[in-house]
Amino acid sequence: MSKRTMTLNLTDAEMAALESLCLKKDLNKTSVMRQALRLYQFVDQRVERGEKLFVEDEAKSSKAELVMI
Amino acid sequence: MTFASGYLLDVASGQAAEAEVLHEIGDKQILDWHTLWRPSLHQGLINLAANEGSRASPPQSVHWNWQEKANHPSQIWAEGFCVVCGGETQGMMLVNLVSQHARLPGQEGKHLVYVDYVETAPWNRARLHNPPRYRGVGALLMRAAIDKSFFEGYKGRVGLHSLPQSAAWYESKLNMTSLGEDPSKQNLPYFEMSTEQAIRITGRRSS
Amino acid sequence: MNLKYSKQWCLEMAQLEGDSEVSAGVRFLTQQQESLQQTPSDELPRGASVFGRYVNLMRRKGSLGIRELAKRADIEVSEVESIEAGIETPGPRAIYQLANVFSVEPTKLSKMAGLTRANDSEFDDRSLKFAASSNPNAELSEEERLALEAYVRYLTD
Repeated sequence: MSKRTMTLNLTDAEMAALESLCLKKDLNKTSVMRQALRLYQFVDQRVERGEKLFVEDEAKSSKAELVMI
Repeated sequence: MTFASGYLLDVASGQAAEAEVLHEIGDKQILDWHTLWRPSLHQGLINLAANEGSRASPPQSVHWNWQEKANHPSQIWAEGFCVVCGGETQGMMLVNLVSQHARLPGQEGKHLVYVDYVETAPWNRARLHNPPRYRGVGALLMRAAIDKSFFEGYKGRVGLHSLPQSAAWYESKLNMTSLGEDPSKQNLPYFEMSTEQAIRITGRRSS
Repeated sequence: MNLKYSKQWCLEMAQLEGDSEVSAGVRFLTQQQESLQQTPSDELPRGASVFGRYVNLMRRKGSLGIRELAKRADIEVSEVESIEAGIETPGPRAIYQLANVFSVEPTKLSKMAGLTRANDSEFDDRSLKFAASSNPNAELSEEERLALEAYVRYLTD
């Protein structure tokens, strides 16, 4: 499988978020970014099919739709 | 796309047969499923009825349609693998990289490679065709799942819901940890492989 | 990637695997899950779709409901439903029973269901054209009736 390389410009806050996710998920930066891309495509395909994405708080019995742009 | 090269055991000759693990479920695999697997399954079911009587329970994957399971190449969150030997597809596996997280204490919430589906060709299943043609297809595919997990930074973690008839393979032979029947997945038993188990099975050096 | 799995490892694992069943994954998909997972395709899948359409049309031609067909063929209603929806591979018994009800040779029905090798490009072509021409709605249109009759003639010749 061929690999392509890209340079990514991030703000300080975005880089901090990325580094925090790396620590939390025990993944390197590349793995976090690839996972983010997969999740984005996965959710996008489901939404395109007409499904909706919700976040639910069982404790508060609340459910809110997450709008994907 | 070759992911790995390895060997299967040719049961008739007792010799090793060269095999490839491909990183896809492509047109050739779908063609083999239609033209080779399904007739073999049909004959295998006849053999099963002859050997075990009319009350024989058919393989629990008998309804699977690999044409519909095969993911579109542009999907990056699910990936297909297959084993090819003797020019024919011997087994197929679909893994999912987003839908499940690890549940095993000590690795809860961490990413893993989740095996959505795995199956060996009907002629390799002793219940349907005895003797089977090849052994070792399941092992090659599990090895591929583990290596994929290491490659993605998931440290060899793999999870799957086994069909009941396959539970012994995952629990007793691969030594995966059983987390019991999962009511959200048809009460199928859920198994998970830790990094330590993955290193032991593959003989990898821990990194 | 092109990893190399050693012969020793592969043969040891093959020995360990023995005749174990290795399948993992949910046993079947519900119809809703099937429709969500399907990727639209210009090419009709062979096997289950052709067979399902044939059963559907033959049933409607005989003005039979699903229950009645199931009763005549002595198979489960759920099996007829799954076969017509194209999500179930019909078992050998169902094929034999339906062949009797429709007065067609079981071997031809078996080929249609994709359970035996067609080895016959004409069979495959006709089956695909037939499947492409059919419509799963209630009334048999004149076009469907003609397509079905032509296909049945081909099968029974």
